[in-house]
Amino acid sequence: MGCILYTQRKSSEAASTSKVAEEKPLKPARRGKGKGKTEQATADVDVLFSKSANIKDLQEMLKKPAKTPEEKYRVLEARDKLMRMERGKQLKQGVGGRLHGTCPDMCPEKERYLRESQHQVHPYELKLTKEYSMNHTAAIKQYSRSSADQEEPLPHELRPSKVLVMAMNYMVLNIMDRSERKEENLRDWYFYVWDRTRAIRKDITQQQLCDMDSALLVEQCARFHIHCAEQLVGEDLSVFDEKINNENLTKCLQTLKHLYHDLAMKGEYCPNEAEFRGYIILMNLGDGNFMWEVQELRQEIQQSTPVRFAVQVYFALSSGNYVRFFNLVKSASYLNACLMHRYFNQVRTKALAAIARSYSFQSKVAQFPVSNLVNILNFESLEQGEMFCEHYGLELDPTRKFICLGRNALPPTNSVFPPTRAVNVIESKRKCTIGEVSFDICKN
Amino acid sequence: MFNWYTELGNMAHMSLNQYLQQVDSAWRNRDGKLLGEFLSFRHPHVVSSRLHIENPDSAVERVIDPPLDEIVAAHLRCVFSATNQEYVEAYRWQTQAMQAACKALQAQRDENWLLPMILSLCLDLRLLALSADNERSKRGQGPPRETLEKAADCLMSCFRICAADNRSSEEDTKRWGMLALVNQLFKVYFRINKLHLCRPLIRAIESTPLKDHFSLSQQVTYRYYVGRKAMFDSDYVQADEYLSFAFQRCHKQCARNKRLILIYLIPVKVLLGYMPSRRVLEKYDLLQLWDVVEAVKAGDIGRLNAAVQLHEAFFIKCGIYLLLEKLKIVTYRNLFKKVHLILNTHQIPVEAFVCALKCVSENGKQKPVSDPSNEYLGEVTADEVECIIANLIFEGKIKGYISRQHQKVVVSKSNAFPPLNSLN
Repeated sequence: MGCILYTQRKSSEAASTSKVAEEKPLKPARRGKGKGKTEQATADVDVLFSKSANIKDLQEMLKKPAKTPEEKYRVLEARDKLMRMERGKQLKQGVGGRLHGTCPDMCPEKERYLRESQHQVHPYELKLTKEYSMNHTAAIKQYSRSSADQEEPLPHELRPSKVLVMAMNYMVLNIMDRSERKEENLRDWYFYVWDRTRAIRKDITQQQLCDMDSALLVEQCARFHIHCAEQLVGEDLSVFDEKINNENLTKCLQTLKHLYHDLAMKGEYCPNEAEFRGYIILMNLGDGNFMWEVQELRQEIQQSTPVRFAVQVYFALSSGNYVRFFNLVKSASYLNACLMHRYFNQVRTKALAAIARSYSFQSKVAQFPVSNLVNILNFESLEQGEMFCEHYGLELDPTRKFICLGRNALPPTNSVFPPTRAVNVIESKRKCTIGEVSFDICKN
Repeated sequence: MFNWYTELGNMAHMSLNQYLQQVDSAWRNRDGKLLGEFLSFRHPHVVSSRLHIENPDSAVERVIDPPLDEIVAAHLRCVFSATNQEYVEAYRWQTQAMQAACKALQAQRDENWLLPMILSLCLDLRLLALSADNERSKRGQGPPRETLEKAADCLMSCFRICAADNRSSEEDTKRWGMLALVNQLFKVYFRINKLHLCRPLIRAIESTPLKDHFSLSQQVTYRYYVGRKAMFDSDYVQADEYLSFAFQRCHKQCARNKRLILIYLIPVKVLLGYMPSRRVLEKYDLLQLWDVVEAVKAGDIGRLNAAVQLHEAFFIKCGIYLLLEKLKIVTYRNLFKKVHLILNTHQIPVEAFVCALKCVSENGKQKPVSDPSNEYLGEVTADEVECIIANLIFEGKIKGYISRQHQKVVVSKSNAFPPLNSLN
């Protein structure tokens, strides 16, 4: 890839000028004579960022030799400016419409040089050399927040679905499984995958892509977030924020709803729709009216195993049937179990209140074996069960084998038992790597 | 005597000038109700071919003064589009009529005689939005129910004008329009499934002193929707109260509406321990619920499952499928009461309940595994039965306790199974 400019054939003026830049041999910049290097750089920056940048100055800039990442970035930025001017003219003439991305790389060229020059390269994208340099084949487009002053992207800044698939496959194969390495920095890992998949989703919405590939991509993003909901729960807030993860998952599912709908209008049905309709229900068990949405689905989806399963989970949850709920967890697929994990605390606290009330008689204190409770409520260990009971104000007898139950209601607590991972109950269901989970290669 | 049919005939052949003259005179007489009729799609003037004009503006302006001219012109254009079955276009004109009418309403201080006209426009706005969405989805355009969502915004801005009018006297306040608008908004929100948007509307109505003085028909509609909302929020006592009011006060000739109310009221009542008679279900063509009720009374879980499964599509469509599943709690209670009566002891082995439950679970099943979800459920275990009983005791539906060591349920010597309707 190097620094060869990726030229746009459609846009005549910009293309021809960037051609010139391409043909220029890249000589090392002369030093010492005349203007200092920094002086020259500020002048370039002035041209680039002044509002009244004129075409001539920009065209001049394209001819400058570019050796360092920063210089290359400036040449590319000048090219983009010229292209934007050209597009502005076209828009005035009424030419426009849906954006079609043409970027052939996982990360647009200009972004790579910008990030390299600003030392904003993620460790996963660095070359394994002593000096700081980017591995251009490993870089993936960053997510950038939409803001009012952000200009509409140019076609070569957006990736078509084939390239998005390539970027996702690369992450599935090379990045996602890294969290299982002992020395891995989980914060960097989670942030990286989240950020890059979010950029993929943004590229999809910006181009209004509506095809099987984009549905599959968003599904993979969603699976990643579902997996993380269990794997990273209980990590420090600086590593993983449950709320943000949920927001992203909800957004993925929302996008999927739209994609399924629009594809169905074209007569295309996604093979994984039932699976994700099930996830959507499991995410919304608090809403007593979720059947309304189910009722709108095609018969075969309504009758599908994932949807039926999710409805059963609702029944168990809403009727306080904790035994059935955890039986369902046991029979659940890995990702279903990850989603059910968020209800564990709710089911267990309600169960504890019911058990305390119904197994005790008048003022006598009744004893309930901890092991039994751990079994019914699927705690990870005896210790976890003990901690949970104590957190909610139930005492253990001196042997620590029994919980003491009284008829009085549990003392009110404002604090929620901190959510913890369920390695034995859920993680053990995962029989493949995280990448494979996201890609849905192995069916659990 | 007023002959409605002659009148209808006249209206249906009305000329543009006649129509405009009559509208104008209604405006001058400050007759909001009559104006509302002249702008309504349920009024015969809409079928008069002499009113179907593409460009009515200049004719309207000649007879009618602002601000009414804009409303009437938009209405005639809307009628024209709707007659040609161009509902997206018709909806656009109706919005314009609505917006002009809202402006006129807001401009009139300390007066509210325009309200009937506004409400009539609102009703048509919603109905046209439905037709427009149908048209769009047939053409494969855009997200479903987009027009209806836009209609909600329009209704909402109208509602705000009414709700904000708190300076005028009780007689003249535009707040009298609130409830009708809220009802229209409820209809939209239930249709687009955004029930959370109902909450601020309910708060606004509950806090106004006019609350119990709106027209009865509006109150019935309001309580029907609030009752349904309470049902989805699992507040069954409130659901019962609101739906019961709606059912009792609904006009007896509105059998269809009474039936709609009953679809929700019956499951709520059963859950609270009241059983309907077969006669009522027959009268309102709701026998689908009879099997359910009988199964609950008999404590027969298998039969309940079968009954729910048999009419599954109907129950899902009505939105009571999840609620019917909750009737299992009542069914368990009735079954366990039977076990208690048969064994005639207040110390009942858990095993007896397990046995009874296994026994009825097989009832009503046509095929061995007809429900694919059964694969997740498996056999009833002692653990699960204990869990069900623990919940029943916790909720006060059984008086007693579970003795874990002896694997027995010890129930109270008096009133071990208090009537459910005494609990709330």
